[in-house]
Amino acid sequence: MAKDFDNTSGMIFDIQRCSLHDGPGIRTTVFFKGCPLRCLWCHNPESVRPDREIAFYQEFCVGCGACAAACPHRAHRIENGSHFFDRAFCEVCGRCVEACSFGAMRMTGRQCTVKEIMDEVRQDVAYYRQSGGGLTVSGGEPLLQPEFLKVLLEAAKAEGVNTCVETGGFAPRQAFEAILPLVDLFLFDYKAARPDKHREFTGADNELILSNLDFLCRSRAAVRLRCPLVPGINDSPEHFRAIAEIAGKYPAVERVELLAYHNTAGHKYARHGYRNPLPDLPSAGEEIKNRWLESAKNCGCEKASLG
Amino acid sequence: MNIPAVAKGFGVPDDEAQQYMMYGCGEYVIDRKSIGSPDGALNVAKALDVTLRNGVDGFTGEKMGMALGEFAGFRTFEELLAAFLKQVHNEIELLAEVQASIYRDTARDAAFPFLSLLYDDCIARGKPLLAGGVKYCGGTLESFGNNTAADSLLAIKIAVYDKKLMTPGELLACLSANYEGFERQRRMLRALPKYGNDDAQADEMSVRINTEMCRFCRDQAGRFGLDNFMIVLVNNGDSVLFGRTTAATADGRKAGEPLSNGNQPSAGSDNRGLTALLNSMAKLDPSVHAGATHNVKMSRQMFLARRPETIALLKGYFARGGTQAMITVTDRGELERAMANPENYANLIVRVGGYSERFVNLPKDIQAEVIRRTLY
Repeated sequence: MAKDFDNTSGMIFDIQRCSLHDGPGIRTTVFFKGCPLRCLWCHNPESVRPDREIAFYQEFCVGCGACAAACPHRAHRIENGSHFFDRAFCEVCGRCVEACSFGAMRMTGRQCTVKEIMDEVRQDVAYYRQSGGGLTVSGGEPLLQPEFLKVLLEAAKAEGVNTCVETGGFAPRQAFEAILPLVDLFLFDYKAARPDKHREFTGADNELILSNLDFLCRSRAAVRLRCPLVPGINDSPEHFRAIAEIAGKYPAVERVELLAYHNTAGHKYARHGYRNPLPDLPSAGEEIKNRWLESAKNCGCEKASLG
Repeated sequence: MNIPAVAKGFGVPDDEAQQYMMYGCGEYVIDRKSIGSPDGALNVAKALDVTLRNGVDGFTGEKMGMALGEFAGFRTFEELLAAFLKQVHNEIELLAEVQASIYRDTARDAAFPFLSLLYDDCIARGKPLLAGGVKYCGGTLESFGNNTAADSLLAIKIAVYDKKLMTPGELLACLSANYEGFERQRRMLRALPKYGNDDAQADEMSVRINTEMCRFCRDQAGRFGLDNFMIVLVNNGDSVLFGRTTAATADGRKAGEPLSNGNQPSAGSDNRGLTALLNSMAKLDPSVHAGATHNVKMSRQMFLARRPETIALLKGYFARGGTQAMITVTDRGELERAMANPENYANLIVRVGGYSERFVNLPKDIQAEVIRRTLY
């Protein structure tokens, strides 16, 4: 078993300590890289690609040219003290990241063994014990790396660490079956009720997702429904009725968290060379959040709270 | 944590250690049985500066401390570290002598009859407090900028010795110029690992230098006729005041800026979350010192709305070996507003170092240092 922890590795893009928003108590959240969905409101755009990519933090660049000198592919050039990074030439070899002393060039994504992750997770066991917290695996979509996920969860369970998996639900059934006994709580996203709307917002329809949710709930997994709400996009009355219906249908759904859209991810799109699909949409304010909560409760969803 | 630490550090039985208390700020004394006035002050960051410059204070340009050789002459980091510790140890010996002489002279001039009534053993021994009356006549010295020095040493280890990104001469040029014209180098040094992030390398450096100098200090008591003599990592606002007259440091800090306070990271250099900060602060063995302060700045959102988690964090910290925490609860922007409009914030109290103070009564640079601390 211990050998698996050394040898099994996967692609992650961050480990966040002292996380208070990804399940009960104080948690360490490990973010897996790679996602099959393309949600318009994605606030982790660097999580979408399954492989490594280069992030350019322009504000840290001093225009020294060390990256241009190190790059074998001529992706970097300095003109009049300004740094131009042409991703079309970039092979993501990481030489610029090694060469940059200022944190302007960074690698997003690293191949990490289960052991390496557990070494960090273990640091905060004292706080998990005191708060009912533990490990949360998020992403991206954790179930896109099913073997890595399973071994990581086994490692956590072997040390008595509570586990949460946050999922968009768009993954083969077998992946859910494999981890079912290893997960204390699923944080399951619910984004749109109608298949056509779901495809419009996320790039995929929701048939597979709903069937996986159904499977988990019937298997008596503990499920917390997480509903990202985006003003003017999926905050329709129809959607709140659908949320209430699902929450009512499945006793396994212990809670419904309404997650309000925030527009603080714009810089992450820019740093990774992506276009933000919703550049001008402001974060949802307190008033609108409270209205959403009221809408959910009015539809009979007593399990709803603002997440 | 603290009772066994006091028993070991002071060399007293457990039942006496159980009676430890804070003397004024965060220094341990044993109730009615010991005095441990912090009469000495040691600027650890300046000791490093003086060592790098072979016995010259980079801020004043004047001779100071011991000349232990040119920086470029230290072939390995360990040689430099040994010289730095020698410099610090020399200061500690001087301060031990000062402490002993203060007691000697004071005992000759003043019997403190009232205090002698309140401390054990004075009446039984028939001696006044400082002339052999109190059971344990000890002292403490406050150390300042310990983690500024630790982060600077790690920066030197990585940048000069391990990765050879700069020579000793180049680093000294940066420090002497207060990084003017060397912003690139400063940012590179800032980006190296810093204490307060549960980073093994950075925290080991902090624990190592603190342990070395605290142990040395503890071992000097007998030589100077004191029952105990220990370092405290307790600072009031003086970590800011000492910073005013300390040259630029290799952690990227500019001349005149505040030094790290107590056993905390330099303001704002902790960025891996509260558990990481607490873990870092719980690493130093408390039996080597006579008290250390740990300020944590929390938002109302965290402290009030996430009360169970806040309690769990503190319990976890103490379970891991934490000894003390001082919580300031404030909101983003509140301290800035108080700095701009003091008349509206007369009752806003913050933890500075070993003590609390009305924020608006603090000097501007101490206010700025409190603002720069990471808000959780």
